[in-house]
Amino acid sequence: MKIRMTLIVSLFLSLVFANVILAQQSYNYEEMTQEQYNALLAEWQKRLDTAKKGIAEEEAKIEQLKKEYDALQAQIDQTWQEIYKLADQSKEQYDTYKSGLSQLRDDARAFLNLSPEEIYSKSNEIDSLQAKLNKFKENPFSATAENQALINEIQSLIDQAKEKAKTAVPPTYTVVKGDYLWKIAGKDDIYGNPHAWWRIYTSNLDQIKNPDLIYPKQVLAIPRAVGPNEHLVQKGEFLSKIAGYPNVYGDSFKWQKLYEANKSFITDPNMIYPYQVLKIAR
Amino acid sequence: MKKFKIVMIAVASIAMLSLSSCKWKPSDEQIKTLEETKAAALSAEKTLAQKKAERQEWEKKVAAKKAELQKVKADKENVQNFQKPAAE
Repeated sequence: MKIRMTLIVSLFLSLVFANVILAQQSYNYEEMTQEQYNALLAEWQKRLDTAKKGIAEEEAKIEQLKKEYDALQAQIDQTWQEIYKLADQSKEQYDTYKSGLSQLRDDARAFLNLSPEEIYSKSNEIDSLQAKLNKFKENPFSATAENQALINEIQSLIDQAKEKAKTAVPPTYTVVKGDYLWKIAGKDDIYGNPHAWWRIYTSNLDQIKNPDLIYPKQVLAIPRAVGPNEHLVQKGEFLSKIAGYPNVYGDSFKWQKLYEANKSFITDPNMIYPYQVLKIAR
Repeated sequence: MKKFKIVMIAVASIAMLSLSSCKWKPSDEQIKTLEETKAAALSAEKTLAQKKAERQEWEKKVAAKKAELQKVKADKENVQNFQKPAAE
């Protein structure tokens, strides 16, 4: 039984082996005529020769390209040497310059990610970034296209940070010696418009009795939004017009009510001014 | 009769053997030559394709280097004409 099994397995393996050997021979040589053989051999020989010729041509082209590449690299290196000479600096100094610029860009990006209030409170850091960038601009290396692009990007980030800081809401302002309402209202980070002094005055009636008299260390509220029971006077408005607004009284005849509520700073009901904040008595 | 039969079988056998030995058949050496030529041709064609790809790669590298050289030349000119910005 065992012998029979061994015989069957051996026969199977022999068949498989024979098939593999036969498969390696791609042609049926048993059926092949001499002419067919010669034609096949000639065809493969021709393909081999063509491929060899092609390889030789490609290798020659590659060799030529490599030489061209090396020559170009040499020219580039030479030009860089000339640039260093023109700038009167070394390659190491150029590398330091570039890494410094990259670092400054990262710093400016990180700074821009802060909230407007944080940027506002660190205004001196914006100035410091700008000073550093100006220093980089003075270096002749700043004239290369790559560095110029980097410098422009950093300048844009700093400008954006400056703009963002403007949107910050400084809730209060502490009066210093020499301040007056007109001057405070005109500051860029307050209202940027001296005429808005009325807004500071009418929002701080509890501590400003006379708008011409404010004192150092007084802490003034600088409101940015108009409250629900307030109205910020715009150019061209008058009391009866404001009283007629649906969100005020919806009735222009109630202007007197408005006047009564704001009598402390409205001396003549026919004379109101832009930026005054009127209380709307309910 | 029996003898005749034996003779006939022998003749037929010889005839068959003669016929079969007359048909041309490639020798082992020839088969080996053909198979080796074919393998060499296929291998060379594969190498050729690789060389073509390598050549195209080098062409791209050379084009990039040419562009880099133009850029560096422009940079050199810019550095040459550089003037310090006015103090802000």
